[in-house]
Amino acid sequence: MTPTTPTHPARAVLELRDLRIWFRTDDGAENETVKGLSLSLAPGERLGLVGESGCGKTTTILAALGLLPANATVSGHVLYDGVDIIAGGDRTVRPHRWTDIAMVFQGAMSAFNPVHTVGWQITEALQVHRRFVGSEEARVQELLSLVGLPEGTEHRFPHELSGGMKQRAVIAMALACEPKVLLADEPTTALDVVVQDQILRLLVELSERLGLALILVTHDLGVVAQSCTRAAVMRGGEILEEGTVEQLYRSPAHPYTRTLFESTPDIAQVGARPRPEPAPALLAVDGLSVEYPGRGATRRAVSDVSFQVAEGELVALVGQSGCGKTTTLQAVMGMLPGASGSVLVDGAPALGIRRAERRRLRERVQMIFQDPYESLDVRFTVADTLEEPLLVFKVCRDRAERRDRALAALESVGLTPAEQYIDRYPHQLSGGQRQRVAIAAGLVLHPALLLADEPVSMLDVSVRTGVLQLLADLKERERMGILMITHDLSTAAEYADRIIVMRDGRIVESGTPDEVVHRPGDPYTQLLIDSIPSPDPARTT
Amino acid sequence: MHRRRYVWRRTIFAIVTVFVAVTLNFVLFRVLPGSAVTRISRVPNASPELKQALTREFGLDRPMWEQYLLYLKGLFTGNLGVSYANRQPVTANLADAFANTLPLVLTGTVIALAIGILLGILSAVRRGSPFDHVMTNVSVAFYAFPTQFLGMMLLIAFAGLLPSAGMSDPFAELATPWEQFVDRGAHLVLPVATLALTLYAENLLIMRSSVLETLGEDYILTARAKGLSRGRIIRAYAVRNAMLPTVTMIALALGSVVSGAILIEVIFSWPGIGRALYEAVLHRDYPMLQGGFLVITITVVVFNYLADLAYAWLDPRVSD
Amino acid sequence: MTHPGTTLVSLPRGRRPRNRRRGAFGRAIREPGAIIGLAVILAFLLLSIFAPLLTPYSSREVSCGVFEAPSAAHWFGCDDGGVDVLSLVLEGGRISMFVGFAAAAISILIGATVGILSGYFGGWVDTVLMRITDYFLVIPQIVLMIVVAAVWGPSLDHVIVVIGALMWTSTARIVRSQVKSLRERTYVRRVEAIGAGHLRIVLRHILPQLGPLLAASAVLAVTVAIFNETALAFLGLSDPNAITWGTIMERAFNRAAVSTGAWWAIVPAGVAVALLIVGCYLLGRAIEDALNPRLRVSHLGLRTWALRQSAADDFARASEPVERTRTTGATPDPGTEDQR
Repeated sequence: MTPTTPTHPARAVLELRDLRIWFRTDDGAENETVKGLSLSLAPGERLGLVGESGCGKTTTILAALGLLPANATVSGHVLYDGVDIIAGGDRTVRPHRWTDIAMVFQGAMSAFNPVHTVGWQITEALQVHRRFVGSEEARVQELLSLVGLPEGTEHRFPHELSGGMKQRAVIAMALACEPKVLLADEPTTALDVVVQDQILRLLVELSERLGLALILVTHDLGVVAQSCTRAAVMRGGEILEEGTVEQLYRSPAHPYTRTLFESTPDIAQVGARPRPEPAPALLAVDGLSVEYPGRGATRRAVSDVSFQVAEGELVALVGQSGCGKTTTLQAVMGMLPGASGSVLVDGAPALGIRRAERRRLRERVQMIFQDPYESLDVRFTVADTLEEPLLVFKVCRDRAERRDRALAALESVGLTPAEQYIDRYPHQLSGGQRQRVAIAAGLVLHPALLLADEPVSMLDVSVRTGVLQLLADLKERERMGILMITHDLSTAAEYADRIIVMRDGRIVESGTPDEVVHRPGDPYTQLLIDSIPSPDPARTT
Repeated sequence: MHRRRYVWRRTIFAIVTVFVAVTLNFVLFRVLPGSAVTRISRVPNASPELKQALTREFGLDRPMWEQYLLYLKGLFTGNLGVSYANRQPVTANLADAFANTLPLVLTGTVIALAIGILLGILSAVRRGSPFDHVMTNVSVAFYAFPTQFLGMMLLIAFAGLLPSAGMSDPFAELATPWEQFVDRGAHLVLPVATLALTLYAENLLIMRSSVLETLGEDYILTARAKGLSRGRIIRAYAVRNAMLPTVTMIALALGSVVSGAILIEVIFSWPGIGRALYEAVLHRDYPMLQGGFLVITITVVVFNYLADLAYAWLDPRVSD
Repeated sequence: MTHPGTTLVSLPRGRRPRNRRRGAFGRAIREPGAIIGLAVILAFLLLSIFAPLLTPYSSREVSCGVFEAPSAAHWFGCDDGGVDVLSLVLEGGRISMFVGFAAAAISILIGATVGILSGYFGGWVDTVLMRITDYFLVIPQIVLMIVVAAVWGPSLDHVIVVIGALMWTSTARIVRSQVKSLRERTYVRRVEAIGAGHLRIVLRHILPQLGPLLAASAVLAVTVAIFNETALAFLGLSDPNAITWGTIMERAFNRAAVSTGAWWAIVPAGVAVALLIVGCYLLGRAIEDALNPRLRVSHLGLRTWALRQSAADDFARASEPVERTRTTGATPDPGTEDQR
């Protein structure tokens, strides 16, 4: 990191001045989404635009390239090199697209046209803008090697590349016409942490090597701290605070900035905690293996996994996508009767069981899912959702009793006063509230073991803390055992009593957060730890 | 490699479908209660000798599975039986009819495809414009009129101007090949126009919505960010990608080509396969009915198969 | 429905409804096309129900001359047998619509059952059912209908059963893919994890979500069914004694209405079919479009975002000169730009 960029450059390469954006809704109303935003970017500078979902950060950078949909109205100025490029609408922005300002989108998966090769799509950009005439092929190869893609990638189709490779190819395409400014919208959100780290390093390196100014839009303060020099914090369409990343981290002026930093887990700050006194095991997994019949050979999704979760203990199963953590969870739920090994929940087997036994198992184990926006049936009120498990297991005598238990469950997940929430529909709840309702639906049956599948990964940072704290409380108060699977080692380290790291279907490491973070035994764990961007800009990895 | 496997699978599917159709044919005519061939007694104008001959030919006095094998053997040797109506082999009757149908159906379908796809694209890229509204509303109207209704209306409207029945004028003395060609062409106009009008609307609506769907894809936004012009995005992205679903949808709409062709041949007395089917129904000529069903089904399966191959060629992702 | 991770950008969504949530029905029914479609269907239903009261003459008895042209007494003229065409069309609508709706109901029932079983259970159930569906989809239905109708003999019941039993394939495919995606939704997996049985999940959580889709399929199936009825009738495979829009046209054709130029014997029935089909199509299409999230986004509309001059603009110009882009000249036009 070289914080050499002057804070007040002679002339900004890109400047947004008093940008306002309205969206017309179907019923004709206009919502002001961006409210008089001003921002300036010096040549070669890297600026982080941080905010939670719906704060207007993506809208802002789309407006800078004139890419808003037809129901948007824009006022203000977007100055590129001192010239207002949006003054004539779409027509005047177009000549600046890709040649001066390029963009990297969030979902690399769908940014490429699936029916053309990567090389074709990069060449197209060169040809349209008449750059590198006659040497397009060489330029494409140069670009691909610049982002670290192997030779021959230009002949491949987008679906033949992994997520990380695709994002690299997207960056290569963005750099094709040697732009001065790169706008990157959550460029690493869909990627695993190790790949995310590589892509961020690549962006920083390219920015330094090519003198490229960068606006990095993200919700993750760690990403900004590690790759940007300056940052602006957005909320409700406005910039609340702006400064160097150091300033924001050391002495945030706005309380919202402080909340954001406090909610961002910092793995370096994990300390030794007192071990909970030994309790009887609720879940005992022993020698679990799961095989899926593949083409030709069978694929082992999980091999020989053993661990335990005790009463009143929160265990985190950490690993990247495809490591087998979800499969393990399904086996515990009794959804994979063909798995081998043994899984005992409260003494009862979860493998090789029949329907009736699985039903009994479900009363003891409940599950929380990742996506709070989809985990509730939109046609069901909160009451319907909470009473459904009671109806399924016929545990209550009458409506009144069911309602009482639903109310009690709402209270226990912190939605108080419960009467205020019980008759609402999901669309009347926020993301965090929905996740709490989903948790409450798991609690009405008073299960002994709670399985949580990435319970906060789709929630905004400032809401995550509350939900995680709720899980920690349930563990203490109700003496529940909780098995949480997550890709995020830093979250796990902050809340779990024990961490199990999985890779390629095997457990590579397990121990208390303190042990795993500070004295990892496996190089893979070390790699994971090193890849996590720290919110402290001073601590580079 | 994926592509090769895909092509194999579609080939096998096509073959199995033909086999299913063949078997269905057998079941419909022999096994179902009240099925046709077993009621030899209902064959019109049949002499006892013919009835005996038929019983022997179909093996009606043998068990069902033997009849089935006999039937399959007949198919493979191109023997579909003898038409009750004109005592000619069904295969010969059908070959003539098929040759007559081809020019009508091919011309009509190609015109309908060309107009439908072109106007569908224009309509989609001008979504919401007056042009779009006129195009979609007119198409919905043409989609809604029954084929036979459109055909009859054209007949009434062009009575005396264009020939209304048959493939050529049997009474005219046409010396030069050129005059014959003009005569045949004139006979084609109304049937082809009817077919094209009934089919283009469906193609237009299919193409329009496929293009609209691609315009919502994320790579269109990337293309705009790349600074591509609207025209280029439409040509290289929207239309190109919209062809994928369109190929499949249009292949599935082949059924309407068939029903359109049958009705049109009846209305314009076109001696094609549809009319042969109609006559077979009128005269309860079961061998012809059976043969016609088989020929049409196999043709549709073949065109579907060609569409599958086109899809594999258009989409690099084909793997599943 | 939008996942932050799966779409490129998540643009602000419109204001959320305060009441129970507006589904595809709610969105569709605000479209003019859907309103017209629904109005047409209702009008036809009413006309059919009250046909006996509305027919000016008997549809079975002679009331005027052969192919008499339309007049004040006979609005739509008369047919080859001297029967009032208006009365015929009103009467025929009853049976045609009954055939259409009954056949559509059969096809939706079969299609929904196959689609739900296939999409919900997956695995070999799915493989087998979808294979069967694929075969049915490829085999030209109208020909199969002709064959079956010919073998069984002409009768309205046969027409209904044959059309219904052969038309379900597209419904089955659409329902299957919808159920497959619903099955992967988190809330369905959550309810499953709770321990709810298949029946409960299907009936309480999946079927209600299919409502609009089934409605759209049903009205679109009505169009196909009515279309096929007229085709079969035209080929002489419907009940020769029944009066339907199809048999009216068939009779007119076979009794030389075309060569005598008696268009009034054909047009009313044909237009009635077309109107009803347009109505069903508009309604079905509006619901289908409302269900398709991909049609709600367009990255390349005719219009683009609009530019608004702000009050602060003059201030900005005064405080620091802003170069205007050369291409636009002095008066940049605010608002829509055709960017082609």
